[in-house]
Formats: sequence, C-alpha cells, structure tokens
Amino acid sequence: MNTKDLSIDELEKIGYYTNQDLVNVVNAARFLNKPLLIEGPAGTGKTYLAKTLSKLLDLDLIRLQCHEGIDEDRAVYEWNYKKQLLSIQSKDDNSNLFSEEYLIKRPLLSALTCEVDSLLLIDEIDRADEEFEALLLEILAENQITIPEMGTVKGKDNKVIILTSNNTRELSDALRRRCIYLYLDFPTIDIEKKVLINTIDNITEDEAVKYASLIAYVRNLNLNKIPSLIESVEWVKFNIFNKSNTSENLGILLKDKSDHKLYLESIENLDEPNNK
Amino acid sequence: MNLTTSELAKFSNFCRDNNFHIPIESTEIFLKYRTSKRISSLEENLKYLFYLVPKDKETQNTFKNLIYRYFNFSFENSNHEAFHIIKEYFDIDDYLLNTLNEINNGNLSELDRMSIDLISNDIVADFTRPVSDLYWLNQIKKTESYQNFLNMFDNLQISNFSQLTNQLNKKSMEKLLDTTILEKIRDERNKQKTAYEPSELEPRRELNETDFLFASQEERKLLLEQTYQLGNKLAVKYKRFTKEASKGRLFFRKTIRKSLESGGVLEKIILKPKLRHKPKLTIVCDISGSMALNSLFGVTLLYGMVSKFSSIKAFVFIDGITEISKTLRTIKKNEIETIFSRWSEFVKSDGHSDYQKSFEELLESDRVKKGTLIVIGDARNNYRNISQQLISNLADKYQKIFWINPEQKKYWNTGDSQMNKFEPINSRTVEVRNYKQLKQFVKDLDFKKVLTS
Repeated sequence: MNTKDLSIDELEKIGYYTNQDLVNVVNAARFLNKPLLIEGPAGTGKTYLAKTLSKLLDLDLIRLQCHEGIDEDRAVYEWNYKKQLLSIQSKDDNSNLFSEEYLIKRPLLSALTCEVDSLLLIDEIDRADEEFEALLLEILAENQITIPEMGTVKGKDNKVIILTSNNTRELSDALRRRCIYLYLDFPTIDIEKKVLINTIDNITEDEAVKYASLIAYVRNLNLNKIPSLIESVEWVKFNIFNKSNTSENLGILLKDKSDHKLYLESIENLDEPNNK
Repeated sequence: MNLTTSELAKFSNFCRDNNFHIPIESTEIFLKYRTSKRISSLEENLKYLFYLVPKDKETQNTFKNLIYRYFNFSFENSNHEAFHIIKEYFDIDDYLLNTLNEINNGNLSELDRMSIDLISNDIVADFTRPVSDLYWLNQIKKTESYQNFLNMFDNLQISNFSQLTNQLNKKSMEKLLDTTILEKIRDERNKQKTAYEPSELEPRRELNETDFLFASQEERKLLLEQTYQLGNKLAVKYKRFTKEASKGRLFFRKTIRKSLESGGVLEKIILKPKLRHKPKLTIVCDISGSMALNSLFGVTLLYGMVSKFSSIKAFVFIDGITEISKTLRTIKKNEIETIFSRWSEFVKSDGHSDYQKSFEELLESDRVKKGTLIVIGDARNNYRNISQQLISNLADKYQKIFWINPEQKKYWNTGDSQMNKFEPINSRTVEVRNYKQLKQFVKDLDFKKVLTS
C-alpha cells in the first residue's frame, strides 16, 4: 500500500481545502496504521474527508453507517441460515455448516478480508450503542475478528480506518485510546474563500472574499443552527447565479425562523455606521 | 534544539503533577513516529506530541496549555482566533497592522506589555480588596485607554463586507486582551499575596475547572454550550437504557439461528428481553437567589435533556414547584436566559427557597412510580423545618435520588443548609462547581446499575 505522505497541494488539487495540521494528523495516522477518529460539529466535512482520501489514494470505500440498535449481525457477519437449512435437508454428507461458504460478510468483515486496498468508514459512531463500540475494539486494535464457530480472521495491513462522531454521546476511553484524534472545525475565512472560488462558476475574487467574511460572521452569531459548509456554498452559488443580494434566499443558509430574524437584524446594524 | 527523552520524561512528570496523565502507549507511539520520520526541531516535536496524545477536544485544550506553561511554546492559532488581515488595514494604521501580524505569528509580547500598562497606570487597584479578579477586569474595561485601543477597529473607513471581518477581528481581539489582562491580574495578586481568597490566587485554571461563578462572560458562554451538550448526552444515556429492551416480542433472527441446532425445527422461541418496569426520570432544579448563576447552568442542563426526549420531566422550584418541560420545549437554545426574566411566575409565596413545600408539591404532581430523581440544589432552606415524613415519602416514591450540590463541600450543613437530612436517602451526593465535576457525574451515572438493582 502506498504510504507516501500527503501534502496540502495534492488535497487541493482534488478539491479539499484545509490546513497543515489536518494533513499532518492524517499522515501520522496512515504511517502508524492506526484508525483516525474525527470529531466536530455537523457539517464540517468529516465524511467528505474520508471520501476525498479514498479518491486520492485510490482506495475502495467501504462504508458502515451506524444507527441505534446496530449489532453484530448487521455490522460484522451473519450466518446464512437459509442456505444452512437447505444444506441440512439436501445433503447426506456432513460438510461443515460453519465454514466460509455459509458466511454473509457485513461491512466490517468484508473490509477486513478485502484483497484490494480499502478505506473503511465507520460513520457517526456516536449513534450506535455503547456495546457496539466493544465489538469494534478488536478490529481497531488487533486488526482481526474472532468468529466463535470458525476462529480468528486476521486482516491485512492494507486499509485506512476512519471513524466519525457528531459528539451526541461520550465515546468510551477504550475506543479513543486506540485511535488518532482529529477535531474538525468550521473553515476559516481563507479556506472558505478558496472553496467558493473553486466550486462556483463566475464568482470574482472580490465577491468570494465578501461572502466568506459574511459567512464567518454569521457563524459567530448566537444562532440555533450554525450553517454548514455545504449550505453556505449552495447559498452563495444561488445568490451569484441569480444576482440576488445577501438578505434573500435565506432559506438555503439558515433553517430556523428566529435565526433569519437575528441575521437580518445584525446585518442591518452593521450597515448603520457606514451610512452616516 | 531537540526534545530529548529525558526532557520528555520531565514534561510527563510535570503533566502528572497537574493532573494530566500521558499514557505510556501514546509516548511510545510518539517516539516510534519521531525516530522513523526523523523529526528534529522542538517545534515539530511538540506539534506531533499534541497530535498524538490528547483524545478529545477538552484534553486538547488542557494539553495545549500545559505545553505552553512548560516549554513556553504556543501553537499557531490556526482556527477562529487568528486575525484575518483585510486590505484596508494596509492603508491606515501601521500600529494595528503590526500588532495583528505579530499575534498571528504567535508573538504576544505587545499584548503583555499593554495589559501590564493598563493594570499599573490606568486604574488605582487595591488588590487586597475582597473582590474577584473579574471586578478588576471590568474596572479596566471602563478605562479610556482600553476603549481607545478597541476603537481603533471602528475608526476605519471600510466597505460593508470587510466591516464584518473587522468586527470579528475586534471581537477576538477583545477576547484575547481580556484573557491576557486577567492572567496579569492573577500574577499581580499572587505577587502581593494579600488578596482575600487563596483559591483564587492559583495560576490560571483550565476552563473545565473554572468555577461556574467565576467564569467570565466569554467563558460562561462556552461552558453553557458544553453543559447543554452534556444534558443531551445524559438524556441519550438514559433513553438508550430504557429502549434497549422492547416488550417481549419475537426475536426472529435469533430464533431461526437457534433452530439450526435442531435441524431447522423451531424448537425454542426466543423473545426480546422484557423490562421489569419502565423507569421514569424526573429532574428538578432550585432557582432561588442563593443558587445565583449556578441555576443558569442547572436550567441549561434541564434544557439539554428535555429537548432531546419527551418522557423526561423537568421542574424548577423556589418556594413551590413548577413544571417547565413544556415551556423549555417551546423555546430556542439562545433563549434559555429568558426563563429567569419570568422569575415571578415561579414564586408561590415569599420568594425564599422552601424545600419542604416544594418537595411536597413535587410528590403530588409527579405521578411516577419508582422513578429516578435528580436534584440540583444547595438545600438551603432559610431556617425552615424539613420534616422526617417528607424524607421518608421521597425515599418511598423514588427508587434512586441523585443530588447535585453547587456549593463547596465544606459549607454543607453550615448555617441553614440541611444537606444532612437528604444525604441518607440519596444514592449519590456530589459537589458540582465546575464543568469537570459535572462531566464526571454524568459519566459515573450508570442507569443500568441504578434501575435494575
């Protein structure tokens, strides 16, 4: 597997704009072959980072979306009991019912046994129950899964593991200890500007700076829901396309009525000293 | 200069003295990475130490602070705190531009100089007076030189949009300056050693360990946000447990799998496990005067829990109980403080806290059987009696009672505090004065053990 260090430029070429810290952490995680735990507010591009990496490093993306009540059967492996039933009824010879033939591989096991280089994305781990974390520990630390009926399946060192969390629940220390930690925050004005210039057609640099600083200001207001990167980019895109001004189409940026009011008020206040 | 192994060991000892443990595992990984990547400069070393050791946002901040204190090295402000230089700055003010640039590069000497200047020249400070550091900060904020400095941002002719960036810069500058001034005030008071309360004179604490009452406005905002999230987490933790086992329905997959042992005959039907009783959670918060700002944190915690699930009941009380779960569900996160502007609605008689009457009313209005109760309060009953009957009624009605007391433990049971009456029936009684303690409380709270025991 390619273990060459990434650089900011490579990421930028493929459309991911970020700072040096993030690149360093990702490189460290890859070099040490440890899972990367990404935490941060919703809408800062945690999942997108994983997708970008898989694209850039040419890895197969295997994604496990966690939800409440996810268990071993859906995440790791399950026995194909229909096939086992049929096999019992039809065959006379006692072939082993618990062999790989009857195993349904779920994302974690298939990632582990994957022949090609792959990236395993365990998305929103905080939505899963605490017991599920314990299941993950063996994979994260030892890179193996033990199936009671079959024995231990050992994985190859050809994968990157990324976990994301929205922090709705405290993750256990045992899980944290096995990972490299990365906190992803909202982009700075510079990065936002780069994103705007590169994703939107017909935007001038001047406009990009204006919108970037406006969005940074908006995120700093006491809002109920802070706009995510995708929302802000879509809003600017639509505004540029329609040549509308900054107090229109707010529904794309802010998803709350009182937030609209707050936004409009603060923009108004800001104009006053300049009009004098 | 390189970071030698012995230096690293010393630093790790230093961290341990400050209640922060660097796991040996992390050190090992760091050393391994360092040797194979040949990281030589001290700066790079510290950077990677910072990447590899802390495992969550809060410890990241603590660790950053420790590195700053030991190595006198501060990381570039790569996030929001950095100033964004707009082109208008180039035209007008050399001093402002230089200062901002220097701070962006991690050089805070100008800020230090200014804070010392402000403290020694602009106010006549008598640091022996028994007031908190924040009082002196506010005095400084009123002075002309302080305001002049911040006004530099306002005196520029700037287009609308750059104005926004400018405002952001001003805000973060104010924040930065305030923290520096507070630090210097603490230093100064430390030197004089005459201030009134020794606990305040220790070096600047971590945000997590800052007393709720002594947090500055900016810190309070952060803490409230964290408290809200903690409330959410507590609610999720509780809900996860109650949801875990639904009502004895057929567990299809396991049943089929079990049947394989007997050759496909459905010999044994497996049901999903059943709960003995559905647990209910009630949480009450004292919002009387003696609780001061602590009640704001209490109500934020209630809000965080209530907004997550509808089956959690929240009450506030002074001298009578009021259910506010419905009210809390209708307001937004940034409107929590408006609850306190409706204080008069919660006062039933004289406005002094009355635990006897409040709990009596709670017992009446809360129709739960065998529930769990969390109380946030200081048990200061204004010299009113608390009857033994009430205590035993409470113990009967609620299976478990948790008590969060925002007062220092040494003041419990002094004056009109009647903590000793409640303590015997509480499963856990904890002192919570800062975020760290609150987090620990939530972490230790194990519903599973509590509710099924």
